[in-house]
Amino acid sequence: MNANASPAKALEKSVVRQLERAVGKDSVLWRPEEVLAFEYDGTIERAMPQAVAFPNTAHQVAEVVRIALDAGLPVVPRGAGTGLSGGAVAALGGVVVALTRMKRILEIDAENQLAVVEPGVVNLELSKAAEPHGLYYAPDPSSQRVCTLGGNVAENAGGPHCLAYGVTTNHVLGLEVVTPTGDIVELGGRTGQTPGYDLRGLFVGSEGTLGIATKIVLRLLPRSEATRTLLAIFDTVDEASEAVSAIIGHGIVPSALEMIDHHVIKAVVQAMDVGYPDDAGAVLLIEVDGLREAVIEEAIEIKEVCAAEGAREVRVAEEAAERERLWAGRKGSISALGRLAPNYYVLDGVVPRTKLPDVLREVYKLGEQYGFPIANVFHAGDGNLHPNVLFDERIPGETARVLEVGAKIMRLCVDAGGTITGEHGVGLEKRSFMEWIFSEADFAAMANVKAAFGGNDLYNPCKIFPTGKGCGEVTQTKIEHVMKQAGPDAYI
Amino acid sequence: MSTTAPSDIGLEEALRSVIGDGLTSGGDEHAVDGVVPSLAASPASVDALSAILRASSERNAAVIPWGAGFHMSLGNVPTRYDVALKTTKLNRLVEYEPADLTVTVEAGMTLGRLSQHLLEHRQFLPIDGPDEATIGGLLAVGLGGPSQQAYGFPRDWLLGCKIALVDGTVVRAGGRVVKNVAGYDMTRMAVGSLGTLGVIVEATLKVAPVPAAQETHLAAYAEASDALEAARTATRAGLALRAVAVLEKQGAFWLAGSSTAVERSREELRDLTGDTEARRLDGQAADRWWASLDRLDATSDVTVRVSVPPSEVAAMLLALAASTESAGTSVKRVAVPAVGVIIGRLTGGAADSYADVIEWVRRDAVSRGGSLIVTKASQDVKDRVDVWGDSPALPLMRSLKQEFDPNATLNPGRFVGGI
Repeated sequence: MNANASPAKALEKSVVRQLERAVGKDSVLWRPEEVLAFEYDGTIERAMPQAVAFPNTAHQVAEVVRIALDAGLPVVPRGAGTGLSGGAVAALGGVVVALTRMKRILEIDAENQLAVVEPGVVNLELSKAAEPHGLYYAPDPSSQRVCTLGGNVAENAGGPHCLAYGVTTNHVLGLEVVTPTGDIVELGGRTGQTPGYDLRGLFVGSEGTLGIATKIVLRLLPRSEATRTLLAIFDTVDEASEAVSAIIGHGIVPSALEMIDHHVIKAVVQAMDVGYPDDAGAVLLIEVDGLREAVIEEAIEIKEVCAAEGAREVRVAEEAAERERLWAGRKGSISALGRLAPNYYVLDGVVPRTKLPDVLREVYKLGEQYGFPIANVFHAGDGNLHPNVLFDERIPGETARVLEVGAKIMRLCVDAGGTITGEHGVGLEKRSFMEWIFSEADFAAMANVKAAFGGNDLYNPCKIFPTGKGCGEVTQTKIEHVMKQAGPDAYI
Repeated sequence: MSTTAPSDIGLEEALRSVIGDGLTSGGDEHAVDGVVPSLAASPASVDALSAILRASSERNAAVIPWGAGFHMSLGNVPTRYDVALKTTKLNRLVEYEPADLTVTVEAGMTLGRLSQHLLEHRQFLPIDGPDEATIGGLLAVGLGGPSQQAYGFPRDWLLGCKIALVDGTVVRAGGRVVKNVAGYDMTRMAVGSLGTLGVIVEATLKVAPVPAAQETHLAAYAEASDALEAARTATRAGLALRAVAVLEKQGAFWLAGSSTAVERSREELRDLTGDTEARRLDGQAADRWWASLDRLDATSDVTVRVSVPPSEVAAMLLALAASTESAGTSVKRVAVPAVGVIIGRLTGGAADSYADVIEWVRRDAVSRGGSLIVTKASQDVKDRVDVWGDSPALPLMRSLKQEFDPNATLNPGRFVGGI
């Protein structure tokens, strides 16, 4: 398992040759100027890989993994690089296995409502391909136009419509995986229930530490007969978050239930014309789908609940164009944040839905204490918060303070009975928070899981777990240093 | 009472030092496939349960965890069996927050009692099973019932759990919130593992609102294939369906949703059931009818569960009929076509002919991208065929077992590949 390998081991010319033999000469990058573009993902950490390989098949993936590990080099799987926790960052250098060339949709089986895809297929492309069959792929992370399904599997990605339909793991039936020891195995299958341990379920969300998915069998859902989107406008965040609990408490589980607070509304209104009132304290974007009759009833009931919780106005959109306009504000909200501050840092935490009002109050209070506006746009129905800390990196010391306030917000979530990540993953970013929610025994059990899969210190090192060989230097100070150099894009 | 046993004493003395009166002799009522344990332990706390596991493991004793004992016929014949470890005294409702749609219970809580708590707030757990089954047992078995059509797999309802391991530690998997990606999702490892890696002692579950309207329509068809066709059409039409089951020539349509959606679905269903004699069941009568499906095993010698892609259900129904006929046995089939599950209940044959049917139908199911497991059979039959069939991931599964239970303390031999 190369336990003694030094992470800083140099990339030998002979290893480059081996990689080139495995995947083709034009499918290996190793010159510093070439690999530079692969030093970051969607978050703040950066680290230079020593080489990047672009395999086309599972066998090539296995070959690359074996070559790297034999050479004592770390292996880091990578999809589109849109992850928000540093999962694809080559923390200790090594070989990045870029899966973007494995982008074939191998099969759409309309009758059985499933698809078989390679890991590099972009999330939205699958729904487009399934559209003619009246089917779609439900998990819809905000980055769905670019993020890959392999990355979604690694991070167990979510999205606004996961409230009713579940996150990635609820939609993965089977996987073909290259293990950390370079073996190719099948986990699960086409029925979602196969004899033996649910290794498929263990693999999803393992953040590239248990292997690389080279084939994915996904469940597709039939398009609903009817959909309605509601925009409920509130004077205060408090009222809006009470309404979230009230809707769920009424026995309605909408397909999406999103909150957009006044900071975000202000940014969105400046950026585009979506009809949100600029003086609102918060809006809820609520979607219901299903049979025509049920959708009409639920929309009426939600409207009444929101009114009872103090909504100033509730708009209901039925036509596709109208609904898309309401969604445009939500979908464009992150990029609109750039209008409010030079930089923003997005957090991902979860609290029980009933704790939303209290926790949000505390989040704003922390922002005031530190002097940062904190803009919230998030999956309220799941209790999945995404506070965005707005700041200016040019002010000395600000980045450190942003990280500090981020940690405090995570702590709030944990203290409220929640967790430190709902859909972005732990990655490099939140390793140190893991001890807040897991005991030594829990970590030992996870280490057992990793060992069973053949996971080792070189296989996507420094991810998820608070300690790791040679990972000591990937610490807060390094992150701060990196943040000082990074541009605004690096913070989302 | 101490929760750790001194290492120099024997098994019985050690377990008694942990739970005193909670230890009794095993007896026939705790037999699994004819193997009788010498001891039965009913710990009243998680600490005591874990101390029993550890003391047993240290003494190389074999432990079989028991909930209500409803599913004990599932699994290969145990290779060793010393202690029946009963979770029934761990039956507290730990936390229930209706507005969060989450509930935390100890593993020995029965589904029936949990349902009573949930019904007070018009909520329910969409995992089918008999009222007396324990939550821990249902999760450890992990097989869904008809409601899976609308509500998904049992594993999708487990948010977090505590698992007692053989080394005496209790680990936490997942959490208590509905969305959580911190660390490996070890809840998935627990569901369907038949208690071979650890014992689920506490579970946090997602629950669902009870649909405003529910009713069941039973329709008799001339042929099983007609019933199947009606089931598929109803599913494709997107009606407000919780489940459709096909029992030989009978179709059972479980409508659930808002009252107007159910009303419309009833109308559309009328076209599908045509001029067949349809019977409507409401309320408790409907509940009783669906619950009776769980009890059909009482009438069978052997029960198999076939899981295939839905498109293969018709072929598998025929395969079951043909193979049982040629083996000189009879079969009663229940299918939930939308999820590709077929339960076959066999009677009137000898062990050899049952074994032939199992092997034959299993090969067919595997060739269609599915699998077959035997959920009930006599020891004779189990001696002839593997209950689970093969898995391409068996080496990985063995290493997982090795990491968590190196002495094979838990359920030795009963799981896939003799794990």
